[in-house]
Amino acid sequence: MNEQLRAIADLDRIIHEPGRMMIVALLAAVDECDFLYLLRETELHKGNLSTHLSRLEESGYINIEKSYRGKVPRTVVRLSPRGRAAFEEYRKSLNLALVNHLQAIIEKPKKKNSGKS
Amino acid sequence: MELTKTGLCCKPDSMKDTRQITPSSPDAKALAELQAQIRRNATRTNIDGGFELGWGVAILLGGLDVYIATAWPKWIFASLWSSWVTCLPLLAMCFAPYAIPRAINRWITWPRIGYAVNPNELKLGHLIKMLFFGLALGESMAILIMLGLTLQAGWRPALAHEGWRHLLWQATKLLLSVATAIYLGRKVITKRQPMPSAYDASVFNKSLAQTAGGRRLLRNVKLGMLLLVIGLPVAVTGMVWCVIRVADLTTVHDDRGWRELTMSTVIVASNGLLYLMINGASIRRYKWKWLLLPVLLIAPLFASAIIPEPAVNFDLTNVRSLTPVMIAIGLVWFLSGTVTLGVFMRQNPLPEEPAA
Repeated sequence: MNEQLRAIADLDRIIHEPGRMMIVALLAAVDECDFLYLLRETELHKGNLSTHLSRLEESGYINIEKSYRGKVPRTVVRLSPRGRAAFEEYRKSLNLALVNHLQAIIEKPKKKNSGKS
Repeated sequence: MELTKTGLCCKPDSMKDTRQITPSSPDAKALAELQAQIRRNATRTNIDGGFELGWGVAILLGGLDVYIATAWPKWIFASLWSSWVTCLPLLAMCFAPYAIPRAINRWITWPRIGYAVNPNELKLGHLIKMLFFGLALGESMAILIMLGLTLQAGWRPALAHEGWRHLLWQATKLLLSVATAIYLGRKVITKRQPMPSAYDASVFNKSLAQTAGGRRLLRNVKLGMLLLVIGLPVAVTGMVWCVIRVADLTTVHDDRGWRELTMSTVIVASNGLLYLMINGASIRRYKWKWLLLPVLLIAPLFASAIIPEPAVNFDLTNVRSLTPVMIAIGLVWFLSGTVTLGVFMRQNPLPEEPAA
């Protein structure tokens, strides 16, 4: 397995799922947000979003706080320190994979030229 | 030489553009998607015009304060217990950029598009510390200048005139204000959190710096950023200065001194740049704001002719000539904020069914 494939294979599977990646990326850019914000920004269905949030909460990546403002239910979500660390790791792995890919592209013509000569 | 097919023509293999290849890789796609999601929160900056309204009210209050000062009844200044009321407009000016966006967020924006807290959002405690830091710094500088002038005139006549007690009191005040400024300065002047990004600059810089072409690219990017950060403000300031100078010479004012001209230029140009920065994300949505930018830069020229300068008894020549400029700028900000808020409320009605 080359470096690039290894970097992609090592990615955190919980975050790498597209729906959850969107949620975690949105949460990484804010201190905290509510369900309506995530619903609008991810454009997921309520059920889908709830399932992804439950999965992330089970993994300890996010903290969910449920309360009421008057009679309106309010769900506030924030990334836990563990979730932030996992996201940082995921981001670094992707960057590394892209850099390896770029270097492979740069190196390729050099190898071809040296092989011919 | 090996030839590669690119559509209808051919080109040497070594000329293949790597930028056309990289976006198709899965990691590049994932990173681009990640970046788009991370930056989504930034696109909400001033989406409701809250900042514009707050800033506009603050500048309007700053400009109108000298006019309001002339309207206060005389008995208010007679006692310390009542004279504090005259500071209210300035106090409101300090808190408007914080309080107005917060109130709009709380009652209008969050119920419509959801609640999200920005990591770099200004907190009330931080704002109060900033105000006290500014006061302490101003006080220190004022006492230093006064002491410098006293010593320049000679300390013996100053001692004979003022006495030891007065000088000691000034020195104590200076010590206290400097200590406060240093203490609060360390708390107030903190490094802001960097803008969140999916791309890791350090990883890219390291890999690019390994080749001569990469190093050249990095150098060009840095030079471009430097030109943008320094060149744009200099260009805008220069342009505004020229326009104000030409307008002064031809129609509006020909008695304005260099100091007033420079102060007007700095205020107008900095507000123009701030307008661009604040609306950088929302200007795609509200394209009419491009029309308000030249209005913001030109309106102050005509304001001096239309708005009469306040008749104040005390010597505030520089401030007096700036007030029409500040009122004009404040009005443009306020107008822009009001229209943005109206459009935002029309485009984002309250959800019928509250989210979980």
